[in-house]
Amino acid sequence: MPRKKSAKKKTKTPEKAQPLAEKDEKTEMLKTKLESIKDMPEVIGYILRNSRSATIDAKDPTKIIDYAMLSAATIETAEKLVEIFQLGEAEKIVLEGNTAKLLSFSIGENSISIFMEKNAKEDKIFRNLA
Amino acid sequence: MQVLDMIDEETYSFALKNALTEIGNICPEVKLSFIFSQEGKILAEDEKSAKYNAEKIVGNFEEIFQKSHAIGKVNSITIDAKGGKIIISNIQEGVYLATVTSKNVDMKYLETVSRVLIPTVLKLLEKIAPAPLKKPSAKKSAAIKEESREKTITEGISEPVLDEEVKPKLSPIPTNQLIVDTFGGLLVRQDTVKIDSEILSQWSEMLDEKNINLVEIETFEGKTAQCKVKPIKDAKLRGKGIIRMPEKLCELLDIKKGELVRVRPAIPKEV
Repeated sequence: MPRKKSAKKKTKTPEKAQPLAEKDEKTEMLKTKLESIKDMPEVIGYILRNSRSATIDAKDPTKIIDYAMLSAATIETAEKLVEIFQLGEAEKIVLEGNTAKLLSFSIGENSISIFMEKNAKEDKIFRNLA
Repeated sequence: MQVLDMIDEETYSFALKNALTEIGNICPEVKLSFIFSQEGKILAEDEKSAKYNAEKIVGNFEEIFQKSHAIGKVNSITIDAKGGKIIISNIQEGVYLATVTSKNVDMKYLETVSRVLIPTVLKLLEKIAPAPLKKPSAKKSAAIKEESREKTITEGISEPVLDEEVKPKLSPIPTNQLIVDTFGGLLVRQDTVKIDSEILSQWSEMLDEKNINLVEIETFEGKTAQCKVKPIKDAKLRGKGIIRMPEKLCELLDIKKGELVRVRPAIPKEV
């Protein structure tokens, strides 16, 4: 009996590990891209989230929590709204403030939020990543 | 003050609703639109928005507004979805316009239209308190004329003049929404209503008329009547946004105390 159990584990483990590895690879690639985007003078920070991890990076570390909370609230609201108005999946969200703006979108299982200066061209950044 | 605020709100809402409908006419890609305050109050909505619970929808923005200090408050939100777009734009301090559009909307055109039209209406409303209101349809006017003829008016009491003898000026006629207060009695003139002297002097100034002696009253059912007007003398009743109307006239117009009516000056036709 114990032998059977271990056999099952062995067969299942590689099946699960394969897509996870792929997913992690994609996330790592995105992280690299985001790191280079963060170097752009108009970009002030980014958040990369998925079900297993979250990376937050901001030029002003004191604002990390504020950015994270605003990004979460914006994505949640957008999801609710597209559901109410039956518009399908949200592809891109842009929240513009008087001093900065936020661009949020998803690539696969990764949710990306990029904070940038008000005059930044979010379309250019979006095209770079999506 | 509360009564006046209520009147102002209704006037604003009416004018803004018209503006929203116009945006829908100009941009057919607009599926629905409404205006709300940062506090979550719906200020105006177009007819298509009525099937949604706009107040509940607006409640979703509360958290964003609370946390938006990180980006210097909310100027606009654009949600690009597979089946369309949701655009929220700040049109005045603490006031937002929400539009739901189809995917292929011309954003620049929509932005130009909405960012020009709505603030213009708001500015106009701020300058002139009374909003431009629609005149009742000819059918409805005729109906009230018929009804008034059927009524027997007691001797010595003249009937309010209905439509024919006086004609409003072509220049923009100021309109106020006032709350009906009734009065009765044996010696009451049934053809005269009483409103604030302040409103009368405002109208005189706007229309360059020395005295406003006649007013046109329009109910929200579309019934109209023209009557003589006098200022309210009772100091307790001044500044409350009311129109004191004889009970018989209220019966004729099928309105009750506490209801809202639109009142505008009527200038006699020059012969």
